[in-house]
Amino acid sequence: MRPAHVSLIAIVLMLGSSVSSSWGADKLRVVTTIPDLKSLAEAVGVGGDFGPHDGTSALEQGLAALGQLPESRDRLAQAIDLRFDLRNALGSRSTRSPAARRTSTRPRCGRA
Amino acid sequence: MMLKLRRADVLIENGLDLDAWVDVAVLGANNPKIIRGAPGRVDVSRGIPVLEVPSVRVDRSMGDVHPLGNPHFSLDPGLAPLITQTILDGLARLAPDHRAAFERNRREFLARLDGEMSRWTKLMEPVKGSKVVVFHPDFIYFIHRFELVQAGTVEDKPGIPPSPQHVVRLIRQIKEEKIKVILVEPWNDVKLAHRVAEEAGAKAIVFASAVGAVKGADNYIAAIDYNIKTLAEALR
Repeated sequence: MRPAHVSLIAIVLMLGSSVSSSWGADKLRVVTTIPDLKSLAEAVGVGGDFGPHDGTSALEQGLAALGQLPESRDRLAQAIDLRFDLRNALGSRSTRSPAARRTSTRPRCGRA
Repeated sequence: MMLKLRRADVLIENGLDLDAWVDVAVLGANNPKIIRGAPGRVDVSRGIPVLEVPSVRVDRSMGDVHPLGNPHFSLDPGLAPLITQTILDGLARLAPDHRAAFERNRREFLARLDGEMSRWTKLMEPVKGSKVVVFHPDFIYFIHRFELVQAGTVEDKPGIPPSPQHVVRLIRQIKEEKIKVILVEPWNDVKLAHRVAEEAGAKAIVFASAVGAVKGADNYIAAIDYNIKTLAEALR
């Protein structure tokens, strides 16, 4: 069993941009020059699912896990960071996915 | 990218000049934590048995020849234990409290990779010794690992489009040697590869030359798995 913070950060990692990741309680920020190294660094840095994975469902889990944490200024900042990171990462994915909808600002712009 | 480099604690690079551009970027990012020689700089080519090291002086007239040897070793799953060890050492240097977790993660990953490796070796067993042509010499480590033979390249010189004479010679060679497959990267001239293959009665297959290069190859094991399945199928 892994500590909760590790699995949460692993989710962020899996959806990071193709060259950068961050993880660990100390938020070690890791940049790799090629995607193969990012994948191998993730395997060492956060472990977990090494098989083909669906980033969208991982995002759903990440957002759900964030909701379980106690309310605090830090948590709010993390939630904002996470949504921004994930929205960028999801840029090329389908905007119809629930994950993309949850990180999109477009509906809110529409309401405004 | 500059912002990411400016904030980075660790920079993991391939080395062997594949990513020589990163030195300029790191200088621009002005982040002393990841300059060459700093604890946050990890070069995974350390300890790799490098192939295709030029035995003569290299210059640009020879095309995109890497003077320190072929840098595309990450496509060989047999080298993953070495690469991940170097990564682990680098991460543990920066976050020593997490060393045990990194070691556990690496062990789990390698156990999974070992299982896949047995399956991949079995799949490739019947096609061992097969000749393949590559578009660009990116796959030599993979080819060696699975005991295939690189019979030629579509590019006359690495990184330079082939001359018509070279293409004609290559088509003749593929026909004569009954080579079944041309390996292409998604960013090579795939049309040309298909044309050559069609002329020669072979098949051009697009390889995942990196994680994410083709659909479904979204992590290291998935990328290698895709390559093995596609190649084993095409060589049969």
